[in-house]
Amino acid sequence: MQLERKFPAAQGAIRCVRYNIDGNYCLTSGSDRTIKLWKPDSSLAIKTYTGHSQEVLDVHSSYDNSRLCSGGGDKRVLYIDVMSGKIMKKYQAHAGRVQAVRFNEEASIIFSASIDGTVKIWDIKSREYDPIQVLDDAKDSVTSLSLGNNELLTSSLDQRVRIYDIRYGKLYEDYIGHNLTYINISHDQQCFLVGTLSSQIMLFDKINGKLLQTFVDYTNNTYMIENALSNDDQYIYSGSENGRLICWNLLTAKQICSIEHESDNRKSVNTLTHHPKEDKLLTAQEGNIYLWKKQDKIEEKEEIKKTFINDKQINTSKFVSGGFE
Amino acid sequence: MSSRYAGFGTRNDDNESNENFVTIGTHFDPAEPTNSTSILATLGRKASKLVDLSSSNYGYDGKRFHGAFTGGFNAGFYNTVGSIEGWRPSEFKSSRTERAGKRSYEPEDFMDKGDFSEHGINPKQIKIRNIFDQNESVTRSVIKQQPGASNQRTNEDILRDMIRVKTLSIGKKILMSMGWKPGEGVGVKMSRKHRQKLKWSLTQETPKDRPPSSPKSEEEQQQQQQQQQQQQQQQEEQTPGVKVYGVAMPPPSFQQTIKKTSRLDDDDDDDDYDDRLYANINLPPLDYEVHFQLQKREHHGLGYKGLESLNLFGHNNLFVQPSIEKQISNVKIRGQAFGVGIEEDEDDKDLFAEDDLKQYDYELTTANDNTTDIMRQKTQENNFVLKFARYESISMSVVYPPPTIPIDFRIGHRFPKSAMPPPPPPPPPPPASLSNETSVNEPPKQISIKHDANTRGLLLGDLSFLSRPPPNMSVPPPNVSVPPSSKVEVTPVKPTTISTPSLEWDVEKERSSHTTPTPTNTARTQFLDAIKNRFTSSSDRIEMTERQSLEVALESDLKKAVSLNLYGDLTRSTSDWKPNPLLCKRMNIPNPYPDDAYNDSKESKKSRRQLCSNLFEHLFTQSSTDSLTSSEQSSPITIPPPSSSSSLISNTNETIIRSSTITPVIPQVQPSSVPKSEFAPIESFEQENQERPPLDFFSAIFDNQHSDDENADEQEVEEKKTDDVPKPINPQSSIVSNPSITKPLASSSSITYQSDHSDSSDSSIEEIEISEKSSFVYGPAIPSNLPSRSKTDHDNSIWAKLANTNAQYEELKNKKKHKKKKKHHKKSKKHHH
Repeated sequence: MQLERKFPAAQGAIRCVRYNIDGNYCLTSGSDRTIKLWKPDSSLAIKTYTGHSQEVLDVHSSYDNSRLCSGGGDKRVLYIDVMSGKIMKKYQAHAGRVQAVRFNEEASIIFSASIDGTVKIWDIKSREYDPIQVLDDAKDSVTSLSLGNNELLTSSLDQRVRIYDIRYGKLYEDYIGHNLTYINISHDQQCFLVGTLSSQIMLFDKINGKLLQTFVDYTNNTYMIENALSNDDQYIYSGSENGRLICWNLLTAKQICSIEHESDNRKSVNTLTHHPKEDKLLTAQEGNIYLWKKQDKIEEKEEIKKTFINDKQINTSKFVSGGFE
Repeated sequence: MSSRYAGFGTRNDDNESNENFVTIGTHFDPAEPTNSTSILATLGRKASKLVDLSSSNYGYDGKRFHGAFTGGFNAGFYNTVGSIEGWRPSEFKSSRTERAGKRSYEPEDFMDKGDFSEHGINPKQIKIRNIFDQNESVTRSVIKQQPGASNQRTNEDILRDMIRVKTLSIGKKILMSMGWKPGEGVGVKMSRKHRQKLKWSLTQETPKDRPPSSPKSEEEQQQQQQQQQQQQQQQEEQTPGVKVYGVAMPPPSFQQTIKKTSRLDDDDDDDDYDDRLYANINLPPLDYEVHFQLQKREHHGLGYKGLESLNLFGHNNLFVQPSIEKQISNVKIRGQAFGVGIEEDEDDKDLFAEDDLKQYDYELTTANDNTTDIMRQKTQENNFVLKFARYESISMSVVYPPPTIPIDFRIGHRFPKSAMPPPPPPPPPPPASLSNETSVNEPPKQISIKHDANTRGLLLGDLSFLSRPPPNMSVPPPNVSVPPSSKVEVTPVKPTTISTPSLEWDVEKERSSHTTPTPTNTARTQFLDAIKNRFTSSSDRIEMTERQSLEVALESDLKKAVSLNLYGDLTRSTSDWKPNPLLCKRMNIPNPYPDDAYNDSKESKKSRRQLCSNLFEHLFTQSSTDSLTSSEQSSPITIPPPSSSSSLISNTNETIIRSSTITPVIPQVQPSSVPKSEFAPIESFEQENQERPPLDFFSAIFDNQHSDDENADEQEVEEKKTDDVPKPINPQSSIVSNPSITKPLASSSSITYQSDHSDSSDSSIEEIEISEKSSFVYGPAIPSNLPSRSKTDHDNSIWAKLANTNAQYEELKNKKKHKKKKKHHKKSKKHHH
């Protein structure tokens, strides 16, 4: 990865950074209770959104870039008009801070996960200020959620991943055995990637809950470190608590690179987002936003060759599990 | 008369008293007036022409008086437009070489000669201006002096005489001609004494006429003393006996010199001496005028003169007879004889007013003579001293001393006690004669306990408050036992305050306390729903332990699997999950359960919303409530586990004995007015949780949320009231309508009616209550003289009655239903018709 750009966001510590749907813009939310809209390629700050009374922990923009939703430490979920910055709706039913918010594909529904152990589903189109459904299956805080085509995935501190399959009306609970901080569904909707507080990222098969891969060699023990999948699901990126951006090959679980953000700053890199189309990555460390670009493929091919050797070892473990079946 | 002819001055002969003169030369022009300026006589004719006023030498050719008095204009040639040559326009000549210039006309171009003359509109003649003197007297004196020194006079002198700067105004000149001198006053000469009096009255500085009331500072007094000393010195100097040789001593101070000079001018100080000298001399009056300045005391405008109260209608005085002065008392003239005559036009006088002779003068005196008297009068009228005062004394602002403050004065206004509403008397203690029944049926007394922060914190287990000692722990334990009643009596339920003289305030309080929310069933169910799936009830321990062990085992299995990295079927658990149909719709996913109704009702949603915050509080309060409940349970009476209603029907008697309470028979058909479904979970909860936290715990949490529910319950009760049917004793209904729901179960089951006492058919039930009370073991010790409760015939009879009432109720109900059905049929029939 190559650092292309670095710019300060001037909104305190950045809690999350998110690309919009086409990757031309990005949203950052900071500890100074603001949300900022950027054009990251030119590091241009476009607009600042206020409305939260505490730090904003997550933000997501709608498919048409017209609305955004955010949740923060003030237990509120805000639905904000992008152009005017007006708060269209304010949902306040969570008993704890809101960890993650997500629009559905049509931006007609907001999912919000909170440390009160619930995921609440808000219907934007109605005038109701009550959630249309509350998913309170988690026994502990829900740390993050990810939305597939037909399902909702949540990670919780009760060491379980819950897959709410809307199409089948089923709830799959996968016991992971670690405190889960972040969940990400792959682009092919087949796998999900879970960040744990035991310094490993685990890739599971969504359909049967089998462990596919484990990615190690980074530190994640206290914070909620986000991870990301590349667009072709070949690489896995994650921040680290020692101030590095780490990239793995998904197939081989081999760490491709581990780049320090700053040579003198070892503060953790909590949040990152992958460009929806290009091989770009946005990360944030403390108050700065970093734009990374993937280097040319030649090096990686070499690495892949190397990792082919390692691949067999993983296969053996798989075999064991298969034999167990 | 001598002959007249030219050449001889016959005219002079006439004029000058028959003296014969030979006149040589030509006469003056007879038209020339002699009384014009007499300088002209000396200056000759030419000079006289210069300033001759009488000669009206207008026009072009000689004298022509035009417009004798009006001073009209001469216009043109003989009042014609034009000249002697006729009207001639101005030339206009313009050639190639000489262009005609633009001529700008001025007013003079259109004016005649006469207009420029002395009396024209634009006089251009030379004349003496006003400021230069043409005073006759001056010139006369000059003329008079002239014969003595006529030879030496040169033309310059004459000119100097002629042109003199005028210094005196006409008035002065007139006055001077009358003998006035500058520096004197105008008027009749007065004596010196009189004059000095006048002066004293006008000036404050004179030592003799100082008013005693005038404030004197010490400095002034010192000055006075100095002045007196100086006067003495001066007197010493001027006393004739003492001779001073050589150079006189210089004056000691500048003030003294001033004094001296002033003395020379006008002697004020040593009048005795002066009086002696000038006793007979009359002096002219003072030079300055006396202005009467009236001090303005009212707030009207300048010059305002209000209506005099006595002269409202023009009458001087209607009722008081005019008093005539003593001098004219003998002149008894009254009435309107001296009124205004018809031909006089003094309209402003009221003819019908009684005339007062005071208004007439009886002496011919001039006001000028006694100016001092007038002044004195004026000063008396206006109550001010007409004197020149020092600037300081006037400008001294009046400083009023601050008001004396009473010793017992307190800052800040205090309302009198009568203005305040009387403080509400403390609610009277419940009379001891009241039975348990009433005390049980009086929830407001307990509910209306006011929690302060400390007690509330204590109840909620917030230990941060406990660091400070609670100021007044006025919260009694929830079930304070009422002193035992020796005699059993049936008392209808009524508020205790009725017996005492109740104020309106008390009634209000009572009412409000009735409506104050009690932790009602709905709220509790909501609360429990919210936390049910998170906590296991402690009641079924076996179940719990089973479940726990199962979970533990499961957990350990999961852990084992995880440790072996055996993710998959082992770690995955699948369950059904019903998404909200709306969610499916929004997600564009067909509803997996299209047939099943989504049962996430609004109520539960709301309850969750309300209880989200309470959810965690409850966790913290558990420890504190435990301690409270344990103390409660330490009472010797063991509360039997409440059995289900179905079991009650089967073997009633045994349970009655065992529980030592009367458990009413519950009919299988519930009255329709009581919705069972709503309260079903409560029962289950109660059965589950025997160790219920005390009332205050709930009241602290649900303090002001559920008044609506209470009202609804009351409404239900009222609905029941409307039924004339004696109702069966229904524990559920009692729970519904009983605010003392938070009491232990044993008591709740014993409570039957609290608001149905008005029913006429209560007799049997009251009997039951009697027996109940005697058997009521909960609370205070039972009096020994009462027979111990056992299964008796009496009880059986009661139950029989009770069953009868139930049966009656059912019957009536059925009848009613039938009636309703009939009615319905009728209606439908009518409709069909």
